[in-house]
Amino acid sequence: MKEKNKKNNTINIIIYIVLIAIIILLLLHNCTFKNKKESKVLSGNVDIFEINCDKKTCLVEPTKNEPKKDEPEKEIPVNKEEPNTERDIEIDEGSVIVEDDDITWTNSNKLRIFSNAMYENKNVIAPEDSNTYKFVVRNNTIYNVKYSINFVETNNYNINLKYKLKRGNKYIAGDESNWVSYNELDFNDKLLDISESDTYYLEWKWVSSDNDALVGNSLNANYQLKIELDAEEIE
Amino acid sequence: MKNKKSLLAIIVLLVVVGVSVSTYAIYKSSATGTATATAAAWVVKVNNANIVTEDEYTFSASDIVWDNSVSNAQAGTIAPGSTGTIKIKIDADGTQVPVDYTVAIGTVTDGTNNVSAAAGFTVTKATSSPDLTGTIDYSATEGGMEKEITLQVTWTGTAADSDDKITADLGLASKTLKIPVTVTATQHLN
Repeated sequence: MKEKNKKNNTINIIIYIVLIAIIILLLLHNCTFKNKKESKVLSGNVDIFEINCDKKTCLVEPTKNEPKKDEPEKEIPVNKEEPNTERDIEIDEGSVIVEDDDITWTNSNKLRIFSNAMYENKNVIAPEDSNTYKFVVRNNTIYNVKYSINFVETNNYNINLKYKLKRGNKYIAGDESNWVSYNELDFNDKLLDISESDTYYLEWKWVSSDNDALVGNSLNANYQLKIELDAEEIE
Repeated sequence: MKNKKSLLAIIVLLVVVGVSVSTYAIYKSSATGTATATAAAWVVKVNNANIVTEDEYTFSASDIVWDNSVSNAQAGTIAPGSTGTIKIKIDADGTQVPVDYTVAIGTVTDGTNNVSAAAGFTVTKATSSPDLTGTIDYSATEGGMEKEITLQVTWTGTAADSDDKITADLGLASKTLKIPVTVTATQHLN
């Protein structure tokens, strides 16, 4: 009986040790500074911090500034009350951004996809009108990422809008001869390395159809296209 | 029992730590753009009838303005030699695209679609009228997208005709005439 108890205790101790080791490994793994980007050597009147750990929140020591040779040396104020102060900084992860010729997208943007020169660049469209909208997805983060783009249409008047989508100079939806519906434009998990960008060209066209006159006769018939991008770090 | 509780506590801790660090560790980002378009208006009326929603417009007798050239015809009637005009107003005001139009004149018949019974009646474009086919350019100005087509209706014959009237003419007394005119409007494409 005593031996049995002793054996059980041993097993329990081993289990505890293994579990604690797993916890420690998990913590260490996710505190690792992944995809560390090589920093440029900065010059000029900047503060250069020497990072002496590889955590996202690091302890740093300010180093002496080295002014440019062609600029007069400036006296750098030192906090006399707290010399050699150690400070905490948060490393800016950056973000994946989307931009067009006018703006960088936020979550409340109105895009000029349907801007029409025939109507003083207002978003007014008529049958057989067409145009192209360019946008760029840019990885300004410190990670390699993958991203997905989803297109959502609101079309209560059944306007026969069709699309093509190019990435760079290659069609990824539709082609030279064929237009597709909005729901054929979606794609998932496109890889994008640090500092890289993808350029997209969204072509649209109101293809003539039998209900065009009814649409135009419904004054102020409108149409909406939403483009949603989601990006995440590649593990 | 105590050992089992401790083991359970560590497993729960492990799960909580695993979930929290995995959530914390993955960078995520999103962006959304929205675009709205308005369809260009299409509003075309023929003699005030919306041709998008109405397939047919019936002219009334009052739409025809008869000349009083047949002086010996009873007032309110027409006789061989009479001429009249019908005005067809194509109104595209409010339309936001240029409009191509066509006015096609069909065969005149009597009320029973009898063509021969209406022999002698002709309907043509009046000399002073714009062409039966054309384009109305886009204009935001009120009245800037209107076009009036004038048709001339003629009952051949002369007031001085002293011959006995032909059967066809006599047969048209108190009859109704049908003059089909079809107006087609389409968006002008460059």
